[in-house]
Amino acid sequence: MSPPSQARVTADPDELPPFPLDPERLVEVLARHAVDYILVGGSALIVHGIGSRETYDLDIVPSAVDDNLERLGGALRELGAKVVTHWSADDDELHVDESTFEPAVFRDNPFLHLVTPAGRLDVILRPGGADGGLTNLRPVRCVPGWGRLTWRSAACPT
Amino acid sequence: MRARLGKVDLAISGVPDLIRMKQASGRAKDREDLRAMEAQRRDTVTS
Repeated sequence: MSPPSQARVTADPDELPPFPLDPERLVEVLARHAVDYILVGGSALIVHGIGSRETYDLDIVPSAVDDNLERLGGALRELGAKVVTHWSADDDELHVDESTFEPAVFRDNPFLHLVTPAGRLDVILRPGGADGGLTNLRPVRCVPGWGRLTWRSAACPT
Repeated sequence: MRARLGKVDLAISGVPDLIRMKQASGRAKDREDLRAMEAQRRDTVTS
């Protein structure tokens, strides 16, 4: 079934049940498809060594150019990603939609909650506080940090 | 900032952008993260 260029996302990611997360698998597939993105959210905080909370997903802000969104779609299809549409605590059931992940899907749903066999992935085309997307996010100097994930900073001393 | 996960180099959002995004979100979890970020900044300044 091919959906929704208008998939409506009603689930609050904080309320979703935790899924096993394999971040290495997620980033490996994204890299193999040459997807241009920046990591944000809880996993970025862990890399910076801030806070102590766990994270159950990766949050990425992709470059919004069409070619990149095409590559992102290819990566998500390979990952077997599905769009989370609703989580019901009452029946403990996660409702998902299939998607072809064409660029229009990302443009019409600038905050997509996805599940994959490698864990949850949030794709945020227009993050709040950085409305221009990727190009408004600036790299900063390295802040060394270690977290529960096996991150190693290339720019920081070990 | 770049970080390595497995064999992959990643671009990681800087702290100032993370703060802006979390301020914009207004979710409880993000307010908690903002407090942790502020506490870490104070620790860095005082140490």
